[in-house]
Amino acid sequence: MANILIVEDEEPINQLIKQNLTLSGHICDQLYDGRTAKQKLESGASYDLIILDVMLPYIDGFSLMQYVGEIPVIFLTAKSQIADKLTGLGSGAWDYLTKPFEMLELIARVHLVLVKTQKADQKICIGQTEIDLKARKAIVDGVEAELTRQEFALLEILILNQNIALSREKLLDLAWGYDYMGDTRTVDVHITKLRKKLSLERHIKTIYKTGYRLEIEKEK
Amino acid sequence: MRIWQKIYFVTLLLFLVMLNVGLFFAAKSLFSYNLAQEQKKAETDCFFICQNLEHDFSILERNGRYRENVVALLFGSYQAYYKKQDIILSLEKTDKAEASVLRSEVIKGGKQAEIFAERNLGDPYQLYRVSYHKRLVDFEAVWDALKRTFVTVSLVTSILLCLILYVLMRRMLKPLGRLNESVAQIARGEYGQTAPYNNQSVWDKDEISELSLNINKMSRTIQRQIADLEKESEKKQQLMDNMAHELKTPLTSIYGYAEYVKYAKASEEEKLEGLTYIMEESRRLAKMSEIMLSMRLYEKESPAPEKVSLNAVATHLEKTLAGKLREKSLAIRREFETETAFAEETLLINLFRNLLENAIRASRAGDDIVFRTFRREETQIFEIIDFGIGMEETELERITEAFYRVDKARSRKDGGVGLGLSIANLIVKKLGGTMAFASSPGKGTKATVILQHPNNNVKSL
Repeated sequence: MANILIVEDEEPINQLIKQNLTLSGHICDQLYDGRTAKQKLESGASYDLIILDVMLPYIDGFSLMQYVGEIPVIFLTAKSQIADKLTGLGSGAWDYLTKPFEMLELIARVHLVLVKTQKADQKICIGQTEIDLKARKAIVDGVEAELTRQEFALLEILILNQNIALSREKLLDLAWGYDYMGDTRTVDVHITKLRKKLSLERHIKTIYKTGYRLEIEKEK
Repeated sequence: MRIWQKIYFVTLLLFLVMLNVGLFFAAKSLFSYNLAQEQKKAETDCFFICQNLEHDFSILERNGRYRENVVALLFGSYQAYYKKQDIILSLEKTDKAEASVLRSEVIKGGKQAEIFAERNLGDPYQLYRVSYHKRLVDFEAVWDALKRTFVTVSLVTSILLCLILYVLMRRMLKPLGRLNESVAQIARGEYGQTAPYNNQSVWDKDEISELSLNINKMSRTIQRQIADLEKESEKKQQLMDNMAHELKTPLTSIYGYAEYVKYAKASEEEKLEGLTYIMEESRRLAKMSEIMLSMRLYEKESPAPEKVSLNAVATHLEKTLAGKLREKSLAIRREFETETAFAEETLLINLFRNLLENAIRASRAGDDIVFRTFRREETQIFEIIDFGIGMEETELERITEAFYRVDKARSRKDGGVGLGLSIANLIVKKLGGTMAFASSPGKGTKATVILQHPNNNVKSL
């Protein structure tokens, strides 16, 4: 769970980013122009990450870079030209995403930055199950569950994309890799095992005609 | 081969051939003339000798000494005298008396020439014939001397000509070389390069200098046109870039929310909200494409001017914009000095609607918007003035740019897509007028449209 600032002048997109990041359990602040963003940053507000648009009213995203200090920044912009990307990355941003973006990509990149800055959660509690991503261990009711490497990889993907339904194909791609030749039944088998071993029957939902979704209640 | 080389060699060749042929014939005729002179002299001599002999013979006859041996003796003295001049004289006695006619001929053989002349003496000594034979010993020498002179003259002239012609050609065709270099530069795309030319004196004003002048003009024209085209295409590119960006934003929302609704664990409320965004953004896309299409139409169609009642236009617009006006409780104050305008009504309505929409957006609740028109000489001036938030100078410069929005959030809330003033600009251009804006932040904005007004329509209504 991280504290994230979204600076984006298009209200629907700002809202969209917020909703996507909220799914992963992050807490978001929303700002809609460069001037208020500058004021916010100058007032010493601290965030784990800033999602920044480039074309903003009053002060553009590239110019805002001088006020962000140590906070990692991901640019999210419609400016997809290589020169803009270089400017963005050259100004010290951690990543550069272009619109239109995929929900999974945004989440993955945010996660990557948080892992690097060690702001990502390493221990996750789902019901009675406690998962330590760093130690690659899962403990159910105080007893360590024995998971294969593949099962843990699948679990990791589910946790990363919590509250988002993933198709079996997507899960194969993400947890097994593109070159894996198995069919989608493999996913079903592994999901069943995960549910059983971690007693996550209630949390790993089968979504009709879509795939599976690990549902974690938002912490209040 | 360079052109100066061609002209040089051709001229040189022609001249040398002419010169030498000329010299040859001159030598030839000079020589012939010499021979003719010699022949004439031979004839004169021969005639003279004959006369003398006739005279001498008549004296001899009178003295009774007219005998063969005396005649031979007498002739011997003539022979001796002419021998000194390389002339051989001989006296024959023919069997038959012949007419006393002078005959002469020149015999040329190889390097030698001989002159023969003969004449029978006059009556009564017609039996005697004097023949005159001269060998031209210096014939060869004269011919050689002539040849030498002519060859020398020919050589010296040729060499002089070679040099002078070379210098002349190089000098006169030098501008052509420079011109060629400049044109090559232009060909490489370095427009605006100017060929040097000299147009000072009448002597310098030749085809090459004219050509240089014209090529310079051409180069500058091309450069200007390319610059214009570049500017135009840059503008188009800018529009395309803006458009791509403007398309991306609603598309990002649509795709993003669709994804969210499909995959995310979301409440019904959140899903509904997402769907609402999808619909809104789709509508925005549709509107944008509609407006872009209508912009194309404005660019294409030519306006059909008609007499327009401005009160009718204003009333129509008040109705169209009633919702927005009521929302902020704004009023449009008409200050019409003249009630008519001369333009295409639909274009005028569109133009003023766009300007009024901007005025409404900028206005604060309860304000007035002034819609004013008056005539100045040949023009009719329209002003739409609001007393709202106004704009900074930097913003003012960009407002007619497609997709530029001073306040994006407010604009999108009204369903604006950022093309209003671009369209207004297009319409004003179409109507052959001009548009200008003046604004100060916090005080308001004035949009001024100036249209030409045909004089014959001033007096109406």
